[in-house]
Amino acid sequence: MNLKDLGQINILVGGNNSGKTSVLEAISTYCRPLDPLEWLNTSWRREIKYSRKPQLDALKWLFPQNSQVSHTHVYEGETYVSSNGDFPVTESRAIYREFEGISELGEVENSSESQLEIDEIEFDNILRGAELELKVATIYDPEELSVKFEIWENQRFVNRKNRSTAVLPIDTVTPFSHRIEQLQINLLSEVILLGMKPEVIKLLQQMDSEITDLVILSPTGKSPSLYIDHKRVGISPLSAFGDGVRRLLFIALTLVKVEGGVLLIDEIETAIHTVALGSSFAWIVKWCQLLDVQLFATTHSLEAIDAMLEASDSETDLVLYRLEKKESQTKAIRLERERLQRLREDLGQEVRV
Amino acid sequence: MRYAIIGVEGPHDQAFTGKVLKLLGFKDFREELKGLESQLDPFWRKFIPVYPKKGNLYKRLDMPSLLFNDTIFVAIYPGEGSNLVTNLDDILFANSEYQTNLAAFGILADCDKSTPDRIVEPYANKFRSYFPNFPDRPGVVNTNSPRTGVYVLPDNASPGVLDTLLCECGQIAYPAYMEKASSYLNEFSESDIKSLKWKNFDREKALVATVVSVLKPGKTNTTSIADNNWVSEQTKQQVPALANFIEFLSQLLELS
Repeated sequence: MNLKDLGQINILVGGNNSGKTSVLEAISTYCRPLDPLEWLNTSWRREIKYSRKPQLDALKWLFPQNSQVSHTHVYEGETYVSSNGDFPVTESRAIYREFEGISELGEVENSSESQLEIDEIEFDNILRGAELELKVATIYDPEELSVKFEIWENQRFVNRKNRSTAVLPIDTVTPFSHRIEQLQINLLSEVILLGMKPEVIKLLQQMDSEITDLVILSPTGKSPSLYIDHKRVGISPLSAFGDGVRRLLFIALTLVKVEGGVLLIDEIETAIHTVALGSSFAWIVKWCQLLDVQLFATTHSLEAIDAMLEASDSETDLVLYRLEKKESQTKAIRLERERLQRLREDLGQEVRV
Repeated sequence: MRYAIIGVEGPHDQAFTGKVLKLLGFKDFREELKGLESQLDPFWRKFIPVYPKKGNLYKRLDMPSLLFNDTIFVAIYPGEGSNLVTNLDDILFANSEYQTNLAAFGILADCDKSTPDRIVEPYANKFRSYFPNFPDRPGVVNTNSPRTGVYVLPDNASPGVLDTLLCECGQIAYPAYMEKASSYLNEFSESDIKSLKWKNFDREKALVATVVSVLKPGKTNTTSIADNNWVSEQTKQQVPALANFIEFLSQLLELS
């Protein structure tokens, strides 16, 4: 799939299973192409923490799958992404190779035997593992940089390798991350230091006009938490407020975190009432511009598309991509803002399918 | 089923083209299937307009007329005069199935502001990016797939608009009314016409509208074109420009 001429604000639409979230995953790993933790986190992002599949299985499903190959077969797969733009990385390649090994525990238990025959290895002692080979090419270095990692089933992965410089600030807001992830108090502190707090409060007032302030408090003297000052209910913990407030705050803080980088929002309309879409999106567009953040947002909602048009103007670099899954590949129809506006406002056209 | 799109400049052209197709044996989706969304062939779903248009609660919706026979389903899309090229370009660009799955794509345009060759130019320039064989001459049908062509009213050669052709039809179908209407319009002096700021071909438009007001009092031209005999077997036989257009459509839609 080819996403030509990206904008600063990019909306991804398409039917279920057309690959919108996969695009976000590809961008997410591309921004930290040599960081195995980014690959693991990306592979886990689709799942709720407490019912996650094993890390190897999750990672494997980031790679191309083929129904012709048996699931018991030792899998090998490869992904490739390339780009041009200001980010020095021009190509990223990842190779995932499964293998099997004997667990150390198995070897200890069998140590009394003089010679260990393959046939005698008990099935329980065989562990699945995988090698993750990550390669990048950059504008500075035509030679591919390459790193390899071993990941074992049911074992904690520790990345002891040096951190790569091929990194662009990136974070993903999933439809449920505002519910399951801890809001980072340090990010709110950063917002306050940047002088952005009044703006963030304005954003939250789209949801509840009686919100007057955001404060960090530590009532027990231990871990500090985020509280909202409210005209009617007074100072209350963030958790006492609805999904919309929490989600917008989560988006705002994540946006600050990725200054100069990329923000990915899956299902941007989630938890935001239709009346608040326009003003919330106007805030997001404005701060993406001010903080030099490139936004990729998926949506199923025509209201969200219209609200994004309303929230932007002719100067906004807004592009909508509709993903259409064909037999052998996915096609991306690119609609730049001006054409999108004509299609929606002049012709009343459906642009999502 | 094969599919075709014919782009026209406005609702009068839409009614005229629909009437010609009915003369060729087509059925109207509005009459046969009551114009119900639930009965609409999924291929045309992209054309269902979303109200209100541009936020204007009183602006008309541009749902194409849909006519069909046993083998082909035709959408007649009215594209707001000079916006026809841009509107159709946007629709084709945004919907890849309209680029790849059409059996025919044609245009009906007026020759009111330029020569027929010049009228075809912007259509050929724009639509060749989708259909490389799109002809650059009026009245010519390219028979590669999809079939493409532009018919420039009234006859691909003379200046005029739809009403120029309808006036010729009116002389055959309603000669007495046409004569009386013409006498009535002749009563308007040069200075009257000047103060009314008539443009080219406004006399033909007024003439047709005057006859329509007698044939269908209180109704629009589109109703009269659809219901009366401006387009009929008789006018087809006796008005060469109408016969030309019918031949053009027959070639475009590959009608035997």
